[in-house]
Amino acid sequence: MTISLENIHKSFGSFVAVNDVSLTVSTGELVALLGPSGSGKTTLLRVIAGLETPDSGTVQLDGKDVARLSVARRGIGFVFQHYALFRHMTIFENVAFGLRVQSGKNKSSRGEIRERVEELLQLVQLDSYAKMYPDQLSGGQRQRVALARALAVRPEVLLLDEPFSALDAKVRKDLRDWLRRIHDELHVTTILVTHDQEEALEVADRIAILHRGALEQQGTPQAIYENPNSPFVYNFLGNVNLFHGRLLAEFAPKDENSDAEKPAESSIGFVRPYELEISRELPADAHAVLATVAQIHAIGPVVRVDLKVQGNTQPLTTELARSRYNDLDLKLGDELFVYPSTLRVFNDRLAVHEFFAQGAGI
Amino acid sequence: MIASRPKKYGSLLKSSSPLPGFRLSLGFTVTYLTAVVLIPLVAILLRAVHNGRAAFWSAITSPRVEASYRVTLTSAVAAALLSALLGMLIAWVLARYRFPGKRLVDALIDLPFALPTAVAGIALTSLYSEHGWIGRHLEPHHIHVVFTQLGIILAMTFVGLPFVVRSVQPVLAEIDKSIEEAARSLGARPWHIVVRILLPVSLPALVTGTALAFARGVGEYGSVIFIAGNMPMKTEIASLLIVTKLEEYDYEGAAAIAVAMLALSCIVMLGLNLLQWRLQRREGKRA
Amino acid sequence: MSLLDRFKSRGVSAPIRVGRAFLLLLTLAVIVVFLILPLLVVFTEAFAQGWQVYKSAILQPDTVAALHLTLLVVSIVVPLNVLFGIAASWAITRFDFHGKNFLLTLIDIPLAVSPVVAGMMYVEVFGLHGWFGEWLSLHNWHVIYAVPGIVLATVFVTFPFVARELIPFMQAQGSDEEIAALALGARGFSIFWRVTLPNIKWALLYGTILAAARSVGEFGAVSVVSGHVRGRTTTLPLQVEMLYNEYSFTEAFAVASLLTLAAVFTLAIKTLIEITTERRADRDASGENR
Repeated sequence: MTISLENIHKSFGSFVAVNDVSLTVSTGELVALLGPSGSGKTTLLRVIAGLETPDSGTVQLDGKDVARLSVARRGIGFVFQHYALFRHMTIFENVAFGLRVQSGKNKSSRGEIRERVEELLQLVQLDSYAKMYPDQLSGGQRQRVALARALAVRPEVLLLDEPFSALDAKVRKDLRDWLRRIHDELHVTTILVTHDQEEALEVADRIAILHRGALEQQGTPQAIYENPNSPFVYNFLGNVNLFHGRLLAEFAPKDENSDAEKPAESSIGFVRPYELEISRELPADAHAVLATVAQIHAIGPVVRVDLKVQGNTQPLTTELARSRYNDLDLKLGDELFVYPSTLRVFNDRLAVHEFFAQGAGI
Repeated sequence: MIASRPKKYGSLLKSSSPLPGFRLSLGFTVTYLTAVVLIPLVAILLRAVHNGRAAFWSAITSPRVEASYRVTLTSAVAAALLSALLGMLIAWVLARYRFPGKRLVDALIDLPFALPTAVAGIALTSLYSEHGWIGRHLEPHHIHVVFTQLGIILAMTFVGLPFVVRSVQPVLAEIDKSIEEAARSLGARPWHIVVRILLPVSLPALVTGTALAFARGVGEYGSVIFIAGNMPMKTEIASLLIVTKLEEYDYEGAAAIAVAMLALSCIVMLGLNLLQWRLQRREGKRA
Repeated sequence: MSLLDRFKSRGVSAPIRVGRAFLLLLTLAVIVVFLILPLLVVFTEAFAQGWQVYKSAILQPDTVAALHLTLLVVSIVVPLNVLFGIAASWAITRFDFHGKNFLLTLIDIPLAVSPVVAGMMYVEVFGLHGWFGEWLSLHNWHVIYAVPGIVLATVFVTFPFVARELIPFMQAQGSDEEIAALALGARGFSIFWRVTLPNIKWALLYGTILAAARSVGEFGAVSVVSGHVRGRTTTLPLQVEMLYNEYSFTEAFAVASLLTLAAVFTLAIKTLIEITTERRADRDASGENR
C-alpha cells in the first residue's frame, strides 16, 4: 500500500505539532520518522493511523483519501510504545483479537484463526508462550506479541510508535535486527517512529527527519548521513556519543570563491571525529592546528583522543583505529598536528561547502 | 506522550479521542443527572421561595426551627470531633500495625456504611437505654443518653466514624517508610516523628474526613430519630422537623429548612474542594 | 473510600511493643463498643422472645410484602445505576470536554445532601403540588406515596456509588488497551465488552455491592416519599420503624436482623473483593520487574 501525505497541518491549541508536512511512502518500504521529542513524528504517525484528525491536508492510502475512514477501517496495524497488550487475555487471545472482532464475510473460522495465530507466534518465536499472560513476559517478549497481534489481520501498513524505546539497550538492538528481518520476509509497508538515530540508520530504507513539526530532510540513510543539509540534521545523526570537532570561525576559509555571501565568521564547520586526522609532522598540503593530547580513551575497537587546542575551550575529539593508534604511540601531553580530512561548513543553514584536505585552500 | 490536549471549543459533539461512544455516554450521563439531580434541586429551591422572600425568611428563623439548627449543628460538631479523635486512633492502628483479626476489624469499620440507618437507630437506642447493655452502667452516674443530646451525638458519631477512618487510613499507609527512617537517622525521637512528620501529613485527610463526618451528621435522620426522643426545642433535629412539616402539609416551611440545609451542605462541599485544591497545589509545588 | 484507596491502605507493619499494645487495646475497645455491640444487640433483641416469635415476625405478611418491595426496588435501582456509572466513567475518563468538573460535582451531590432533603426534592417534582403533580393525577399515575417514588428517591441516593468507584479506576488504567483494540478493528460495543469490562470488573462489582447495600438500607429519603402504607409502600427499613413505633420491639428487631445479615454479607463480599484485587496487584507488581 502506498501512503501519500500532502500538506498535513496539526495543532493542539497554540502548539503546532505538524507544520505543512508532505511525504510519500511506496509499497513495501520501511520508512523511519526520526526526530527529537516534540518534533511531531508521533502526531504524524497517528494522523496516518486515523487516531488524530489533521487540521488541514490529505492522507491517501493507495490513492484514496481516507479522511472519512475510522482507524478501524484503514487496514493499518499499530504497535504502541508501551505495548498496550490486553492484560486479561492470554498471548494467544491477544494475537487472535483482531481476527475475532472481524464481522460478516471477513470473519475467519476458529480453525483458521488458530492456524493464523500459531503461524504468527512462530514468526515472533513465542509459540510456547501462547497460554501465558502478558504480565508473565519480559518487555521485549511483550513487544513481539504486540507486533504479532498487529500483523495478524494482515494490515497493508504497519505503524510503529517508538516501539523499542521502553526497552533495555541490548533488547532494543536485538528487536531492531529482528524487525528488519521480519520486514524483509513480509514486505509490509512500514513506518517506524523513533528518536534513536542509530535505530533509524540501521533499520530503515528511507529516513524522514522531523524538527519542530517540519520535514527537515528525507532520503536513504547513507544519503542523509553523508549529505546532511542543515546543522540540525548533521547534529542529530552521527555517532552515538555525538562529539564533533568544532572549528572556530578563524579556520573557515577566508579566501573563498564566488558563493560566499556572508563573511567567514558567520559560518560553522563540522567535522566527524573520524574525519579529524592527526600526525606528528606538519602535513605538506593541509592547513593544520597544533594540539596537545588531553585524554586518551583506549577501550574498544576505536580509540578516542581528546585534544586541547590553544585558544579553544572545547577540546577536539578524534577517533582512530587501534592499529594507527599503536603506530603513533601517543602519550598524554604529546603535541600533534590536527587537520580535517573533510570539512563541512554551514553558512546560514542553507549553503553547504565541503572542503577536502587536498586542493581547496584550507 | 504528545502535548497535552486542550478541550475542544465550539463543537460540543466532537470528541478529542478516537474512541467511540462519546455522544452516547455523555448524552446519557447528562440526561440522567438533569432528571435525577438538577430538576429536583431546582424544584425545591423554587418551592422554598414560593411564598416570597419574607415567608422564606420567617420559615427558617422561627424559634422551633432555630432550635433544631442549634441542636443539629452543635451535635454534629461534637460528633465530628469525637469521630476525628476515635477515627484517627483507629486509622493509625489499622494503617501501621499488623495483628490477628485485622481484616475483620478493617471490614467492620464499614458497618455504619452498610447498615441501614433505621437499624442503627434502634440498636443504639437499645444499647444506651436504661436497661441496655451500656446504658445500665451509665444510669447510676446520672449519665442519660437516650432522649438527650448526648444520644444524638453518639448516633452521629456512629455514622461519621468511618468517614474519618477511611480518609486518614490510606494517607498514613502511604507514608514512605524511608522518610521515617531518614528522620530517625537524623536523630529524631518517636515523638518527634509523630508530631513533625506523620501528623502534618495526615492533617489534610483528617480535616477532610471530619468535614465529611460533620456533613453526614447534619443530614442524618434514621439513626438519630429513635434515640433522640425528638422533643421540639430540645432534641429535635432539623431533618426530623422537615418531615414533621411535610406531614402538616407545610410544604413551604419544609422546603425552606431543606434549602437552608442544602446551603450548608454546599458550603461544606465548596470548603472541602477548596481545601483539597489548595493542598494539591502545595503538593504540586513540592513535587 | 474507593477500591483504589483500599489498595493504598495495605501498607505498613510494625512490631508490637508495649506502648503500641496499649493503643491497640484502646482501639479494639472502641471497635467493640461502637461497632460490635450494636451488631450483637440486634440479634439479641430479635431472639429475646424465642425462635417462634422471631419466625412469625419474619413471616408476617406485611414483612414479606416489605421484603418484596425492597427487592423490587433494588432490582430496578442497581442496574440503572450501574448503567449510569459505566456511561459517566466512559465519558469522563476517555474524553476531554468542558464541564467535566461540573459533572463530577453533580455526581457528588447526593453524598452531601440529607436523605430527607432528597426525598423532599422528589415530592416537589412529582407530588400533588409538584411540577408534574396535576399531569400525573390526570393520568392516574402515582409517583409519590407509591412505588415509583420510592424507586426514584433510592436512585438519587445511590447513583454516585458505581460512578465514584469506576472513575478513578478507569482514569488510572488509561485508554491504551481500548485504542489498541480500536486500531485492530474492533467497533464500539465490542471494545467495551472485550477490553474494558474485564479490566474494570472488580471495581464495578465493588461499586455495585455498595450501591445495592445502600439501596436496601435507605431510610430517610424513602420515608418521605413513601406514604407508609402498610403492605404496599413500605420497605424493610420502614417496616422496622413502624413496628418499633408501635412498641413491637421484638418484631422490629427481627426484621432488623434480616437487614443486618444483608449488611454483614455486603461487608464479607467487599472484603473478598479487596483480598482478590490485592493479590492481583501483588502479582502484577512482581511481574513488572522482568
